[in-house]
Amino acid sequence: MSAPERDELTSAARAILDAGRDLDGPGDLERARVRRLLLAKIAAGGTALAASSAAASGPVPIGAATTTTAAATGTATTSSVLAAPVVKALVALTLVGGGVGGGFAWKARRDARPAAPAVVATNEPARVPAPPTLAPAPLPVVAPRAPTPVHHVHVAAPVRDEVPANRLAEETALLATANAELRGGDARHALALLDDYERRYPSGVLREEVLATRVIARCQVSVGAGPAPDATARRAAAAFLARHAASPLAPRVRSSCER
Amino acid sequence: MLVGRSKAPTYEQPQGLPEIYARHADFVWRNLRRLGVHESSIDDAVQDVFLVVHRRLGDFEARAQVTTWLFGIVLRVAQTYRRSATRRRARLTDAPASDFEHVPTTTTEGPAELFERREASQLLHRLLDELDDDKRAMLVCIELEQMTVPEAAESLGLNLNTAYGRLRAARAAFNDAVTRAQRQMAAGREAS
Repeated sequence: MSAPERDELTSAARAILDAGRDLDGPGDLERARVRRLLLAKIAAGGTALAASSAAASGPVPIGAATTTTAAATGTATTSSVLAAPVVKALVALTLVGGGVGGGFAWKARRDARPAAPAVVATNEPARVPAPPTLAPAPLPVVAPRAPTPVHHVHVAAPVRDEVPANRLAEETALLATANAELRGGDARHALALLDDYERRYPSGVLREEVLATRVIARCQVSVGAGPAPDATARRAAAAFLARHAASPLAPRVRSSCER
Repeated sequence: MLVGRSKAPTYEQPQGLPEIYARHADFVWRNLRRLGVHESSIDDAVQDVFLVVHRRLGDFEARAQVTTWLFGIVLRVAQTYRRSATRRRARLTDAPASDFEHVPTTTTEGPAELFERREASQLLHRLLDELDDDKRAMLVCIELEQMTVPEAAESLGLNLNTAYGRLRAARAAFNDAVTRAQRQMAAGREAS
């Protein structure tokens, strides 16, 4: 079968698609915010993502795939290259009936549009993400969050929106470093880092994850000194499992301490 | 039947999640939006895509481009979110569809440029909303991400003939949507 021709699209349709090609990507702030949230979900699961977080936030290497390179740099250049095609696309929609006397119809649409905050507020309930779920493998399955009313009901800890983004990033980085030490076999250093976390963030968002990491580190330290975790470490593990039975970190605590 | 290649090229194996996120976060983000994930859910949806990537990275085979593989994941996550949003709207019967969509800003963008981007983004999303899921995904692959038809077929799990047929249908449907929009806007001008 022969390839479809590009001119299967009308000129107006083509103009709109061409103008839309560089739209919809995140801004720098959005990209960084989601990366932090992703880090928070993965860090305590023992993933090395955070250790390489600098790479994740860095510039896209030259030679990356064309589409992604364009995407990664698109937001920085959009303002300088987009205006003409966007106007062209919008004008394409107004060229009806052989004239442009009506000008930009989208201006009328803008005037008729309800105030933005009110519409946002009524259409989509306020965004209140749950505290981070830091899951070890297997990671959470792909599923949308629970309906917002239920979401609100289950949010017991301070919501993330109340936590300054830079503080969450710092918490996440510190916890990730502790986990890296733990994976590297230096449980004592991990414990020292966790002590530091608790001094700096007594009401931290990642308390549950820090507690789990601490329990695992204690078990690892005591295993280094004997054939099995000592009674103190086992009690700490039992206390964690009793209090956080549904935690995604429970299996990891169990496997580390119940020997 | 999935598309097979007589001489399958090999592509670079991604090193890990940080690298994939750095290179492809924008790709994932914009295509979730284009496939109908509402702005209010985009953070969660992007994270879900990368959690799937994290989980399945070991299964990735370098016979496909990362973007081809990613698009398949994006498509499934977007479908899940859209279904959920539909159910939620059905419960919130008084909530109209939003007429205002957030467009991420850049630090160098002025108000006029931001406004133009918002207008263009809204326009594109409205038109894409008029397509069914299959046509929408095909149009996004080919016309917005500029994949080849074989790449799009692989992303969408189609054989090549089906992919070509769907592309034609998608373009025709998009033309129709644009024509309807033009008529509506002309009618609006006459009414005013």
